[in-house]
Amino acid sequence: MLTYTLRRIAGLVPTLFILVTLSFFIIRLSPGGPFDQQQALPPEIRANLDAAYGFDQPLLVQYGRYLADVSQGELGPSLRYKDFTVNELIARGLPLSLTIGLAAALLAFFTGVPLGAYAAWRAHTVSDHAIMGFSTLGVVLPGFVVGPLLALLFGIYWPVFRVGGYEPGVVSFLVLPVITLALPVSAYVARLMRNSLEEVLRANYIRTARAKGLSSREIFLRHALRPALVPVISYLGPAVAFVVTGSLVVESVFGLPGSGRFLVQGAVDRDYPMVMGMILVYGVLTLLCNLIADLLYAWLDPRVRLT
Amino acid sequence: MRRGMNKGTRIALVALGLLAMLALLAPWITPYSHEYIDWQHQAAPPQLEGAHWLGTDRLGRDLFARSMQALRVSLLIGVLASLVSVCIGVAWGATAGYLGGRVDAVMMRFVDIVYALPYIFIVIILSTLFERGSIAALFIAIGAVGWLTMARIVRGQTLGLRHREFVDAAIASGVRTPQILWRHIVPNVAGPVVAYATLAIPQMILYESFLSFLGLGVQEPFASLGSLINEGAQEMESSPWMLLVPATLLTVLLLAFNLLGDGLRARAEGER
Amino acid sequence: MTGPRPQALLSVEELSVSYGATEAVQSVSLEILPGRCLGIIGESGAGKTQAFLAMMGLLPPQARVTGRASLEGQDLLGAAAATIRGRRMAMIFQDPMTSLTPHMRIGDQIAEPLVTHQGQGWSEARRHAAALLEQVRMNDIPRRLRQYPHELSGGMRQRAMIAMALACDPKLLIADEPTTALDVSVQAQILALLRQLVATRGMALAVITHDMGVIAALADDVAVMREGRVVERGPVARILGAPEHAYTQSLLAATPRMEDVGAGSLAARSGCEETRLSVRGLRVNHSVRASGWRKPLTLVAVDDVSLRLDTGEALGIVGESGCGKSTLSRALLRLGPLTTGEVVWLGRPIEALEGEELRQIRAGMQIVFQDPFASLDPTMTVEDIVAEPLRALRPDMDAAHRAARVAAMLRDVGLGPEYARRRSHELSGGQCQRVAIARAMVLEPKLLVCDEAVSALDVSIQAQLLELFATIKRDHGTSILFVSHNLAVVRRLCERVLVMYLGRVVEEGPTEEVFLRPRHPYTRMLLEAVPLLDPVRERARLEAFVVQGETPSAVDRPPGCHFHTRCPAAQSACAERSPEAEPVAASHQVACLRWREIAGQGAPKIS
Repeated sequence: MLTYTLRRIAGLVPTLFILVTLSFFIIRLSPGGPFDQQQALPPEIRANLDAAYGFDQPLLVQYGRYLADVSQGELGPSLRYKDFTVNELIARGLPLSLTIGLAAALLAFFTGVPLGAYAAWRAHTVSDHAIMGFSTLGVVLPGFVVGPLLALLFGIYWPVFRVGGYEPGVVSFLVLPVITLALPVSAYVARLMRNSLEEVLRANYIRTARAKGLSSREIFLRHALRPALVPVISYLGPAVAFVVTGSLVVESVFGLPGSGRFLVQGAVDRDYPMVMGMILVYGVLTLLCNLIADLLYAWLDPRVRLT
Repeated sequence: MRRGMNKGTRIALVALGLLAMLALLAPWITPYSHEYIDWQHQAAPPQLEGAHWLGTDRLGRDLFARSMQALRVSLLIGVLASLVSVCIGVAWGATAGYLGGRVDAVMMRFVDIVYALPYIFIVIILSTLFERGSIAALFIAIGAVGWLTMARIVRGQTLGLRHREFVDAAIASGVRTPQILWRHIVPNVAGPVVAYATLAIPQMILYESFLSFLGLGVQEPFASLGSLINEGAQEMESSPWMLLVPATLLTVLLLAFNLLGDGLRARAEGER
Repeated sequence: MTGPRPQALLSVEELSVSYGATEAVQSVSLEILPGRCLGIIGESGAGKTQAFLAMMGLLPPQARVTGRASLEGQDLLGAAAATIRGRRMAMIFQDPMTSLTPHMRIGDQIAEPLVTHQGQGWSEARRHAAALLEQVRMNDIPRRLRQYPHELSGGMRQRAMIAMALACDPKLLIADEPTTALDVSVQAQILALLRQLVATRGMALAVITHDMGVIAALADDVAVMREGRVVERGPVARILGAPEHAYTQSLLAATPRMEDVGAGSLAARSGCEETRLSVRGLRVNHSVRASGWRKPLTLVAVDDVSLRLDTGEALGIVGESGCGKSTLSRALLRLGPLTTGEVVWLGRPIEALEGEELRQIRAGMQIVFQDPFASLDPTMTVEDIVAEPLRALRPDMDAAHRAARVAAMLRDVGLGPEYARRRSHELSGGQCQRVAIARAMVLEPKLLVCDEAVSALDVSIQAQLLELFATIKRDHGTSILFVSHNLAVVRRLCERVLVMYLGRVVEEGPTEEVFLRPRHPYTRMLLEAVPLLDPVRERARLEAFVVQGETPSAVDRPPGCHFHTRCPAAQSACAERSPEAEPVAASHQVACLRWREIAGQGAPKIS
């Protein structure tokens, strides 16, 4: 298990490297620079600005410098918000985004798995069809439809929760955003779990377990659960990617001051360090979650450790 | 078309047919165009017997006409983008899966890396490369991500097929590699491919709506279901129909495609 | 008969199982007395497994069960039956790999019924599990307890399954095809084990099988099933010796026996003595990735094999799993990897051919595979499948000629024109295999490789296809390379035979010569492992079976003579030196250091 873990971690480095390199060059090579939005600047001032930020150096040198900075955790100054570094700006919004994302992921998995398992246990009955029906709906409805609808229903008509903006410490603001974000993931996990468990229950070794006279509970917990969870765990990676994308929408719809807006704004403003920093932070997060998912997968299925 | 589709799939097919017909025939059904501004009826609620069946938006444009136009855009982009992703995905996946070894490792590593990037990055990066509202950007952004899942699925299927005896038999019969790919691999992955392609359409429509919602997709005066929802969300306290109409349309559209795709996928897997 | 009739342990009356309109089991009645063994024999689809699954309560919810079944008077078909399952009645299944939970350790799986049914704690139950593993003659028990199913070999997995079934000391053990997925030498070990367990525990045994040899080995009474019904019943000696029902008779007639010599043999040379295929020093290595940071290992699948095949001759290649026979056959067809060696086909070396040249020679050498359904593209019609080789290698043929040729081929393999438009899922296993043969023969190849081509088929279909191969050999002068683990089948069809073990040829020669006077201890073991159809002789054979253990992994071959770890005649020299092939008689060779000394010790008893 240990060697497998180390190998997996080692495998991350090249991916991260490619990620950084790709984004760097694409952003840099795209038309428009950070100082083009503002009024036309006199050439000398423009040259000074370029020199100050190092834009007059050859591209490869800038790349090298950036790599050096990043490896020390320095993400550079923001070009838009000139008094702040990217680190500081991201640090302001990231905790909120992470909280929402984590809460949504946990909610999704802890509702999706039991629902899916129940549906499989009662396969082809009314309960199964009902749960799968809700699941289809949940998967289909996009966040920017569900969000406003939920806000309308539970924020305005029956004001159970608070909507619009955020006050630190007031959880009520976060309930609807988290539910909106969690809904599609939960629905998908429920469906995955249900199909997976239903397939596992048809396996030969479950027949053997029944032949041994074990109770349904024992069969489910000891023999069926672990293999059934495998596709669900495999989905952890894409789920995180989804949550990352979705948090952008949710923060926008509910007006939450997370870090998502920096990415969009940074792209529009050509705030290179900001965009790069965001990509790095989210990229690392995604890769980490993929890693955890892989490790969980190997723990569940010993045969995988041979690969 | 073999018989034996279950009820859900049949309903989905009917619903899709109706929606498509409605969208295509809309210009002959309604007297309004999607950009005509009716100054007397700004932000008017729906009146089935009145002038505007589904109401108007903030500027007084007929919501039915705009919704139908948005539906056309969504259907077009969804189907076209799905087709493109199928072509790229099948070619990529079948080649990687059949050739195996280094080629496969490199090709699929590429897929893995792009897959690991949250979709939003690609969208953002691409939006900075093109001017706003460029249809090219839309297609590239959607296409760039859409073919990945298809490639993975096709590659997995091909890997399984490559070691089946009938492929060996074809090699022993002297059939050349391109012929094997075309005559044996592709028809045998056709079932799952069609199913996932059908499921990909609502994905594409979703991506497009998402881009429009962010303001990066279809531009004024054209509408997309996503942009309509965005506008509707801003007015939802005073004029909820502006949100509910496009939201319902989008939901029904996505639901129908998903049900259809699920039915096809269940059949493809049942045949194996 | 004197005295009161012993009370039946298992009593089944008019048991029927149906799925909608399909009846899988129709009014089956049978009984098993305490301590006796009932063998249930039938071909696939006979309903034998379904009947017993019904008694165990393991059928899916769609199944409708009627009739009566009881164990020691207690009803098996009602709700209360759940208490009997796993405790007083246990079942083991055909495929131990998929029938054991992959993520649970072996020891825990065996201990589990003890924890559930007898309320033991886990550590106590694990100790019992160790004791059970001893009873099933497992080796290295402390390590096995902690291993996972995929780390065990086939025979060990089956032993583990048996141990699991015996945990709560059941009165009746149901064994569904217990030896089918195992090598012939391991089969003999498992059969001997089952016999011994039954005797020491006074347990009743129900064996479901399609193999007459297993019946001869284990059964006291036999029930013959066909299409859901019991067609004949009786004591084993009568059923095997003088069956009354026509179906039973046909089953026995179709089963190839080692006792048959000459009569019924299809081995006969035709054509001249021209050498078509000559292989020298063939070697196939695989690179296997080891766990962790270690360097990749080299697996030698085929080790310095040489052979010769003449016109119209059938050469059998026999050996157990892992001996390399399939790898060998694919390598010389250039369908699989080939590391070094020389393959001369029709006077021309083909081991290094590539591209178009390789494609052109393919017309002369074809193959039929083991799995009939996987051999045919499910999206193609039968006529397209048979026409494909013509399209690829005979572009000069026009459509009309092609169609005529395809129709002729289908006729030759016994399929009428109505089959032309069907697809594989509409055909039976035997029919699929016929299509595969038609496809292979359509280019009139001079070499036909049959890779376990009849192993997956019912015995009656097997017999028909063997006839077909013999006809091909006779009428077309086709050379046949027949790869099989079934010696009786090889004896029927092949004039010469090659015995392989862990990649090496250990003995080769005329079939009759090798089977009647085997020189290599491994060949002897293979012959001793073939089940006999006479119950008395079969049981004696099992008791005398000496070879233990299983074939070592090909990655870890024992040094010197690979067989020395299991060989009853092994000495210290055998672990040091690898034997070369030495001639015994005309065209009979053996690779063993001690063959001269062993020769005098008597051959296995086949007539």
